[in-house]
Amino acid sequence: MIRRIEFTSRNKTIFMGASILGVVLIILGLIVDHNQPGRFWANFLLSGFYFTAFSVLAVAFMAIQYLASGAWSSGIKRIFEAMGMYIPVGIGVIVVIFLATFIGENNGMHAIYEWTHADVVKNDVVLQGKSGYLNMPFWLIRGVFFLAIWALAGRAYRKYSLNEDEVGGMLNYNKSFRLSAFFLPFFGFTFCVASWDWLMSIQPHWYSTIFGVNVFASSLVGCMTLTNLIIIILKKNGKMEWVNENHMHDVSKFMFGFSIFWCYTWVSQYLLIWYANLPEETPYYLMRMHGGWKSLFFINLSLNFFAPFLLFMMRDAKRNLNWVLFVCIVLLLAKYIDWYMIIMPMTAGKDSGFGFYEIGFWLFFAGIFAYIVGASLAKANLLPKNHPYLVESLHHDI
Amino acid sequence: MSHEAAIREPLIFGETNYSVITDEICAPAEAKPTKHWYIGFTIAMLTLCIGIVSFYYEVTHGIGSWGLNKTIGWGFDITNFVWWIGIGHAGTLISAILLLFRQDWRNSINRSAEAMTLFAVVCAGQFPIFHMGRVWNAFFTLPLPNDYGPLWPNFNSALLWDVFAISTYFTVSIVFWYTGIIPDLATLRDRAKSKTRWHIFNFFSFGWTGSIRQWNRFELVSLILAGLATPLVLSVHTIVSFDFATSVLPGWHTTIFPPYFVAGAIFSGFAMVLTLLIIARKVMRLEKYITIGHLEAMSKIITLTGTMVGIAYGTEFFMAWYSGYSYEQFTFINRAFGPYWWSYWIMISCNVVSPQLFWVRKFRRSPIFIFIMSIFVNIGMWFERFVIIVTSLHRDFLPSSWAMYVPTWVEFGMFVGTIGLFFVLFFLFAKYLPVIAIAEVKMIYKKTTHGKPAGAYHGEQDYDQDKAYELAAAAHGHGHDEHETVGEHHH
Repeated sequence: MIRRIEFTSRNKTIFMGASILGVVLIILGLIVDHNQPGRFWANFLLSGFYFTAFSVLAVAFMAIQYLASGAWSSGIKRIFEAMGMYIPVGIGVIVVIFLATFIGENNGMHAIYEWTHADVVKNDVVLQGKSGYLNMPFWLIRGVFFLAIWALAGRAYRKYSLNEDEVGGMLNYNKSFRLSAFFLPFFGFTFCVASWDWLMSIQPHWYSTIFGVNVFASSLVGCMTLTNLIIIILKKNGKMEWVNENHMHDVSKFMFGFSIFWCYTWVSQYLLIWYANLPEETPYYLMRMHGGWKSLFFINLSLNFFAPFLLFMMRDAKRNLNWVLFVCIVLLLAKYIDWYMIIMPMTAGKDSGFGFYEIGFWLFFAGIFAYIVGASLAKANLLPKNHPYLVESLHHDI
Repeated sequence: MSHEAAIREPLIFGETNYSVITDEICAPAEAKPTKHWYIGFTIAMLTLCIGIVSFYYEVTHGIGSWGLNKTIGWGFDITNFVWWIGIGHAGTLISAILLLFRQDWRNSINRSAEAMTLFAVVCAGQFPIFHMGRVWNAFFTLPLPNDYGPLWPNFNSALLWDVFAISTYFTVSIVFWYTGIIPDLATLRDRAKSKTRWHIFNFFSFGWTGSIRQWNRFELVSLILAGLATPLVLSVHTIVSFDFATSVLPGWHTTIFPPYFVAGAIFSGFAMVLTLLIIARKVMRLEKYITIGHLEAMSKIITLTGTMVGIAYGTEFFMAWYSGYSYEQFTFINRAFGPYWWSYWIMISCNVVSPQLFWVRKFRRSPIFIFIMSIFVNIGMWFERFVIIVTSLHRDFLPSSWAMYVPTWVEFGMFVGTIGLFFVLFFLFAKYLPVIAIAEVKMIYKKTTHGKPAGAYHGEQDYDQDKAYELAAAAHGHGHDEHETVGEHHH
């Protein structure tokens, strides 16, 4: 059984190349679509948040698996650990956005968050009321604090897991279990707050209590999609032979189930706002259901709900490698569109489009993500040793 | 072939075999009722009588016999309705969602939890029906072709969606429950001593013979029903939450209501399952099948859902401030510090604070402690609905319409009466039917007991994972399981 993979120089070149290509595209964007700081920074946030959220969910998923005594996932645990290593990049995203604010009036947070403009807040009673919460230093402190704790938790799981390979026994399992008990409630609360800070406050007059749950559902689907994608890539290269269609089936079930749950939160938010028709709430949808946004509004719902619902309905669909690969690609695009719809209308506004910036930033972060995950996977055994539930994962059969 | 790790706690405690499982579970259904049963049943019947008197009084005197007024149009009635519906959630969650998640521990509690679900929905249904005042016109809620001209229910109303959601839920739950019970009814038939009993159980088990084909279809139908029931678990309480959230009333209109109501429903449902099962396992001597491990798993779900509900409370409170909407802000301040402050703090302490004690392993493995906690949660969840309904209503937009709500004896009587009804039905169920799914427990028997070191138990059913790991490792020489070291040999 081949327990290790090599992070080859070819891998490195491809992943770094992707990031560099991303930078080139961004520079091209700066030339072609110059003077669009809103769009530039919105894309930075979108692609930066995209991979960070999925990585955070990988750590949360490990916590759930420990607390629920989930066994099937222990054979693919190293993938979650590797994804967790990416979270510090998220701190970079937050800090860069914050620091860029000081370049000028149209950069960094100023380009994304209306509430950072002193002159706007001065003439707006509602925003004044929120300024105790929505202010730049507090936003930064919260973001860095949450991400730091999530990243540290990810590192701790990794450390315990690698130590378990060495010493065996229940020691590290018990430590991970206890860590999960502390981490999961903390995560549940802070992830909601983070989604308000980074995404919801882009439209600062608008609020929706279910917003965090919706972002959580998206992120979990995204995390499971990336997990399946990594499994598929490894399997196509002849690695991870202990992972079979049964494991893939379970990961796909999470993609399927939480796509439905995503739609549930989406409908809950939309239906209740439509039904009550309150002036505080409807502007969010009015903006997104008219003009050029209208088609994207329906594409969003189709790709995030109808596509996985129909494509993954059958049992065999969740177990066929190539089919799963196809659904993964659809869902990666779907999640991008989901958050594009949340971020762009208020930031890029009329400049919105799909061009150098969008592809460039996505490639830039995707390259970093792939590099970190690839390097982390190669650093340790791909199959954890001595995990007390490993035997169940190796015999997984559904 | 699946294989269980040694550290996974066995779901059946102690030495047993297939025949003993059948005997022990069937015994209460075949013996004469015990003294405990008669006492309990009598108390439940008397409580139900209080309800019958109250319902009679309400029907003959009208809704005016309740403490409602122009400002507060919903009080005990809808509070009780939502409370019972919430309790009815655990059964389907256990039978459907836990089946999809392959949680084997559901197998010994699903039967009674599902039965409880049905009884809770029966109790819940009484309140909206009797709230109509003229109960004989209750069928107006159904979209029946009628002779009343253009008189149709309002399809835009969440209250009508409730009628559909709850009747669908009840139908699917009863089909699911009954499907599961068929093989066990056949078992009772095969053990029957009298001809009449044989014929009765043969009729109700549809002449089940236990052939391969029947089992095959049984399994298939269970899976399909689980798939159908899973969205139902979410939909019912989602639609109940729409009764409130589709309005424009501060404190009612908030988008988190659907998942928050569902989490709360599962929370209260598991509390009621625990309340009933902790008594039942003791009285009916089922500790072997409903182990401390089962109680612990349910306690964990209580902590999870309680914390989710807590996050929802926090989110609502924060958003009320964040919205900058003064009516919303007032509603929440008023909830916590207004005239009904006590109900708010009962809710917080029972639902959010107390379940956190289950983080301590010792607490979540002590039946007495869990029982007390389950009562707390039942109380807390009743007050949650009371807080949502009454405190949001009693301060209207116009201060001249402000009012207070004091329930009358009729409302108390009806509430107590439904508790009586619930227990009457549960006692009858526990007497006449197997409270544990015999066939499903047998399904997991080998898997859950095979290769589990008995020495890992110390005290009363306390399974020590670390000890189990050590013992298993010692039994297999190096490494704790021969399967795990497969990779090692190749190195």
